[in-house]
Amino acid sequence: MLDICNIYKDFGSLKVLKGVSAHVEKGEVISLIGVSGSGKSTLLRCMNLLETPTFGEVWMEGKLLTQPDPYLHPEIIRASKTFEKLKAAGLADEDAIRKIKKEDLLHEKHGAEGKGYVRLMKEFYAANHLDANLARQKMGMVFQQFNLFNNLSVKDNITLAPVKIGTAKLKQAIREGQKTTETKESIKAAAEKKAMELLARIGLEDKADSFPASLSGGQKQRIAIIRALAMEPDVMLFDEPTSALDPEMVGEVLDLIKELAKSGMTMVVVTHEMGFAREVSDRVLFVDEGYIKEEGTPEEIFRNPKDARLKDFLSKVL
Amino acid sequence: MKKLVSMIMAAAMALCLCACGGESPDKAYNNYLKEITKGASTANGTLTVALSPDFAPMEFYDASKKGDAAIVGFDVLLANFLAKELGMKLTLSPMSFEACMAAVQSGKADISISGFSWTMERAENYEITDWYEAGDNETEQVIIVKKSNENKYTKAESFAGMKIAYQGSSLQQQLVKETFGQMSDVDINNVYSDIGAAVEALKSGKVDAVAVAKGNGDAIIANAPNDIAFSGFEFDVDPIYENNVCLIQKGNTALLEKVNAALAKAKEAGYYKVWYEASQIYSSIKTADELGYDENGVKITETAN
Amino acid sequence: METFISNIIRIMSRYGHVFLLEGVAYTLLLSLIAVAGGSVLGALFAFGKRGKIPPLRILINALVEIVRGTPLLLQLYAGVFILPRLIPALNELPDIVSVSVVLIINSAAYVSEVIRSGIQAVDIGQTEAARSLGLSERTTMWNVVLPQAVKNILPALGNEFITVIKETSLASTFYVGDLMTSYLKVRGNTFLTLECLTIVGILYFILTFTLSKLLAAAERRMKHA
Repeated sequence: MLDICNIYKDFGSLKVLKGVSAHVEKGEVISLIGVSGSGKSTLLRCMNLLETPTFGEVWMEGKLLTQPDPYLHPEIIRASKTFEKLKAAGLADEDAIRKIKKEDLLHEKHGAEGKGYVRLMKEFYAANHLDANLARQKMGMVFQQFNLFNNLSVKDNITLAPVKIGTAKLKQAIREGQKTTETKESIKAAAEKKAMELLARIGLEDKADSFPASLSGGQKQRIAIIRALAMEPDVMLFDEPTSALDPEMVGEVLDLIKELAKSGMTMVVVTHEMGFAREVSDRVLFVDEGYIKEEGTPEEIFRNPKDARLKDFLSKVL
Repeated sequence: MKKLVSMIMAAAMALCLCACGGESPDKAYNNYLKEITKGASTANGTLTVALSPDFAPMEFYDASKKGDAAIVGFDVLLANFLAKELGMKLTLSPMSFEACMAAVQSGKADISISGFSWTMERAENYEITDWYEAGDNETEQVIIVKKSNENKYTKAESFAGMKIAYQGSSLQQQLVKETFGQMSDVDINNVYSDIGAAVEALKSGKVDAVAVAKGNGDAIIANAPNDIAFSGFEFDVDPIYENNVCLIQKGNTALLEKVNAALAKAKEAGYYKVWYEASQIYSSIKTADELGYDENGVKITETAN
Repeated sequence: METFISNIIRIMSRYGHVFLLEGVAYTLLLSLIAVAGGSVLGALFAFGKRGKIPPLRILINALVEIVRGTPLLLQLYAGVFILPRLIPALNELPDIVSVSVVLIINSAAYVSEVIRSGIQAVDIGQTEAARSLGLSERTTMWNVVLPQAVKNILPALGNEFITVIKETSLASTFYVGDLMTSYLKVRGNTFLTLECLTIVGILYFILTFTLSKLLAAAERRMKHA
């Protein structure tokens, strides 16, 4: 349901991701492991567009989240005049594609049969693109530093997004003349009910009116997780969820994540907790120096690592 | 400490008293003001006059009044007179001395009447009106010193080894340079942005003497009679510097002509002397008795009986 | 020393109302106008600077740089002498209006910086979490970032107010009635510079000291909220 296609990410002159591709099935739990600076967090953040890939595409359930990358769509390149010119000059198909520069393509408005590269791209975009905000409503992210909203109570933290987004959708529907029984108040009531249910699930209902400043790290992170769940996402992304926790609180958070995995949620987890990765993942990806150097089941990765650097890494952490 | 307490109590009593009555030194002044503004029409627009009300008795504030009426002095009477003669409504624009000149230059004010003397520089950059004679305010340029040195220095040579101060960009600066510039044992490099600061320097002993217009000197001494006095020295002043002028924007010859005509009228009628006396009474430099006014602010003339 | 004190007492008994009723009142009034107007304008500047319209951004940045890089006295002269040429209506109004306009713009320039850095000081993780939930940029700013930025901005605003109280003294060049103008008026009558300066100095100090204590108390209350 989630497709990462040939992602490159540069920060200025620093190349962090150098051509990463991955596929996540619905219900799968994927762990990303690797040393600090390997690019695993960056990869995760490209999935919900907190970082914009320099090249490559991210697809979720058949919808394109990033800008289209022409090099991934040779058929569109073939339709361009520039391509035709190069072929006419005698170049083979593959060579022509490789030689084409993005700038040349962008200048071309009209190609063969009246549809140039730019036009085709626009059509492609219109047919497939999903706005980032809408995409993010279906993806939940949990951060290493929790990032609960300090100015809101726990309950407000959880209900803010459902209420704001629900109300916006309601206004949109009314504008379009659709009939609906919902009102602002009903949306708010439903969100609050859901929030209390989620809090009950982790045993923190009594903290509903507390503020984040008065909570422990473990409590904050568990609340951060259910805050993301309140939007009923299709996939949950975790960026080193336990790395900032005191050891005695790591367990309660990991338990919640495991519970979530068991319930069938699609998840991508960046983590240093190897035991957890082993126990919960369907697949483990070893990210190193901007590439995925090895991937496989937990058995394969942890018992039979093949890549030299992976072996090295595992020897240090296990 | 005891003395301090009793002084404070005296002040507290004075505070209560000052609320009720007291002398009104503004009677003579108000009489003349009424006379000037009687029958004034304002058909010809507004006359904006820039002035710096920190210069008794030429222009200063009456703290008991509010708004434009609080600005009083010789130049204010003159301004009212000019406005009436020109058939214009008078607007007073108070601002610092430098700002006054900038106001006329930029056109924000039509004219500035603020105790200006004629100087070569001003003549180059502004239209200068005919002079008017504000009593002996400007006719005498003097030097003031500490009380202990009263009347001791009547000649330029007497100032050997002394520091003389003056206000920057003023007539006094020019006079001091001309008179003492050649004398190597007189320190004349003491410029101050305003007279008040120069007077403070004199009081604290930082300088030994300050060059001022006589009228100013009167006011300063009236407020610190035990501290400051005239040195006895008087500058040799070219008649051209003796009196005050008004500044008008360069090129505005139309206004210049009208103002000069009005000034001629005031001179003929002999207003200058009595306006100056009224202003001196108002600023408490001299008393009504001294100058020959009765308690209703009317001048006592010899043709009594 | 005794003449000094007796002079001060004499001045206060005769002219006390000029300092207290006029001077202090006008100083407070001008400062309030400057900071209130400056806060609103400064907020507009801050958002203009972050906004998406390049010409507006460039214009605002230029204005803020000029205002922060030139002396206030110069700006006051410009406001009183040059501004009325662009806005003729100002010629009919008393100078205190032009002065207020300049003070407002001046304050706004500094306040926009205060606001910008207040917003920047909010941890970026807050924004990331909000956007990750699918919230728009505007909702994120209004409901998550700004409320937290305010806690950074208000103390700085309070300090700006206290600074402005002292800065209004420059307006005395145009005799607008503030505390420094009172000094000029009374000094012009009495020629007692040192005594008048002392009185005015004490009054300024009382104003700023009281306000900074009030500000500190308010900050403490906000921390507990």
